[in-house]
Amino acid sequence: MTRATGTTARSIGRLLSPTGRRARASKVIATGVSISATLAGVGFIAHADDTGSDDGDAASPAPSAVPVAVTQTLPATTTVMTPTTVLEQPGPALLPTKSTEPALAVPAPSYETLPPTVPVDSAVLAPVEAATPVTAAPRANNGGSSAPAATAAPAVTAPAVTAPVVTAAPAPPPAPVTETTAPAPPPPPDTTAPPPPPPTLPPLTAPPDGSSRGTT
Amino acid sequence: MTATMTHARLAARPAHLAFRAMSTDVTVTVVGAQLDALDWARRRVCELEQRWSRFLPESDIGRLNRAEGNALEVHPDTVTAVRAACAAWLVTEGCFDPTVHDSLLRLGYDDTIEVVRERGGGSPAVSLPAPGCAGIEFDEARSVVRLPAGVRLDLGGIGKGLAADLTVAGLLEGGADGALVSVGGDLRVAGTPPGGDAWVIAIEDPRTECPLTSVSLLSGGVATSTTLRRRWRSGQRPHHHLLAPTTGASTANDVVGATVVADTAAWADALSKVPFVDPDRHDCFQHVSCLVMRADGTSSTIGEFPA
Repeated sequence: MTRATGTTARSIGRLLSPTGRRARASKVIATGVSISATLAGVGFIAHADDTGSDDGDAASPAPSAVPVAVTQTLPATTTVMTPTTVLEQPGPALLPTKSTEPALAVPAPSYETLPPTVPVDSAVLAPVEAATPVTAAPRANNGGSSAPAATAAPAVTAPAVTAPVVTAAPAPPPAPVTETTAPAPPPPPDTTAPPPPPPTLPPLTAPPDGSSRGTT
Repeated sequence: MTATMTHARLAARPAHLAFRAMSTDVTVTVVGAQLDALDWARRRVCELEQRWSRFLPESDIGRLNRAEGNALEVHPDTVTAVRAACAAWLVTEGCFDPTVHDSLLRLGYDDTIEVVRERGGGSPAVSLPAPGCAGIEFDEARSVVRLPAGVRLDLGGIGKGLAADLTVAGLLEGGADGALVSVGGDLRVAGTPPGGDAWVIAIEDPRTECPLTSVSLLSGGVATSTTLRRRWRSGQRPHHHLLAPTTGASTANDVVGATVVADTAAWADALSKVPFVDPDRHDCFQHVSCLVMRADGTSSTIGEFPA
């Protein structure tokens, strides 16, 4: 959390508390002498809060005719804006982890778990049928409508292996012993395949919860 | 707020409400909320409009704008808003400036956008630079704000974003499991999303009015600003509401839309103004993401946009 959030939270907490609400006053505060910058001058400077106070001790000396330097300062709680004032900063939004990202518009390649007893030779992958490049949800640094569509991670053709485990999937497989249908390298364009969705298509499988429209 | 809500809770499925306030569309979604949460949210947004609208003479902002240098006691909400606006002015080094009130008036934006559009015409406008936030004083403990003489505020978009932030915070404080509030595209989400692992927010492309992309958030704010919506004419010249504070004129570069994802809707809104004023300014996007849309149809990002 940033300082901004913390400050806002405190403010909100105070604002929303039943006793935190204050009636709006229409009066002008501190008329005559503002609460602005420190005043230093010669002579007596009346303060709004001091006016009307006649509680003076009769024995106290009369106001001196000698000019007296008086300094009036702002309440410690007052913030005066200057270009160097330090206030809160923006912070990042809280994003879901990878596992909670919405489903892609195009399903990811499926994997089949092989039993660990499968003979090695049977795990050798034949050349995989040519796969159509899929358009994945833009993950990072999306260039928007002008950017080329992000495609799935480069597919890897699993070579003949002698190890008991084949893990040549383009993404971490769900189980340690996986792989049978990993996509092959991008093939020549398949004219019969449906065109990939336009790059501006949102990666949604369900209606969004909200929409940010440009009206502000 | 808690005291005003009944203890009966809505079903787990989300409840929605849409209404007009702050001269724009407001939508509220709550998850696991109490029965009167939606009505509370509507009243909350409306009371913030009553405090912050520059078009209402008796609003706090209206009174401050007429105070001519005197300090006024205002509602704590208003102190919070002034503080947020000043913080954004600092972070953006003036690219976001809430003191453009007189500049907007000079360009003819002196009433709600519907009225200004209908009126049209007028004399040719001469732009007026904004004075900036230097010298503004606020005291949260005493709920006092003082604007220097000649400085007047237009909270505008940041007020909408902050209204979304405060309303979501209040809904959660009142017992809702999750909430989404959008005030004219300034959107805030927090808490449990409805039927999913994250809140999915569609980003509309103002050039096409079609979805451009979407972002998934657990908590945060999203705001989109554009020069293509709030437009009017003064004299024979077209204007839009996003002004360059140093000149007081509508920005004139090729940026027509910007979407920012940040921790709050208020920050998202304020930072979404920066690309219009200074498209090359990236330093204030250190912790947030921005999608910039240009008139030629291209888009680019600042930071890692979480689409």
